[in-house]
Amino acid sequence: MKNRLKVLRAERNWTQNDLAQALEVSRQTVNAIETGKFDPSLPLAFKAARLFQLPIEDIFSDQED
Amino acid sequence: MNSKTSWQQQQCQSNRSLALWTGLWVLSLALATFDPSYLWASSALSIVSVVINIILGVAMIIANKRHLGNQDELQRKVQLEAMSLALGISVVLGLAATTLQQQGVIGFQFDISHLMLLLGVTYIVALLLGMRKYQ
Repeated sequence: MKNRLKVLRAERNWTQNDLAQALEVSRQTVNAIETGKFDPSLPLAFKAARLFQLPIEDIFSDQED
Repeated sequence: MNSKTSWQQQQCQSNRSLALWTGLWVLSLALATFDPSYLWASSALSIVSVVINIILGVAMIIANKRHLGNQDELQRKVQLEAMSLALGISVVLGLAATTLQQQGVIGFQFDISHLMLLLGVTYIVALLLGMRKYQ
């Protein structure tokens, strides 16, 4: 699964730690999601969508896309 | 966004709680194991020391359960993988060693402490590898 978390975070000048605090996960988890090593659960993906005020499909997409 | 959130505070608190109860349990185990031969010769005191050890063990288990509950989904995944690997390796190698010992192939006397050592070392190694994998 691909995601635009790194881009969206950079647009807001947030550090990984800032995003981790907002999503209530560890900085390592944010890093693992951004680098594609870990796919978040649906609740966490929706939490990110709410945080960035974007539809979930604008942040996460299938690798085949 | 620099101050610690309630989630991070909860994590710190559960880490401290787990460390405290684990430390107390280890101390009580050491006391129950060593003291009958050095400090007292009463079976009643031995029973009391083992009961205290069990009570602290239950507190440690509860603290560990809360600790896992406070972790995020990736941390839980790493823990689950480490625990399954540690349990699997310990059961397989532990039973294999016992079988070899029963059949007289090896003369070394295995006991529960060796199994605990294997379980602990495997868990720590698997945890470190898991953390490195998702870094």
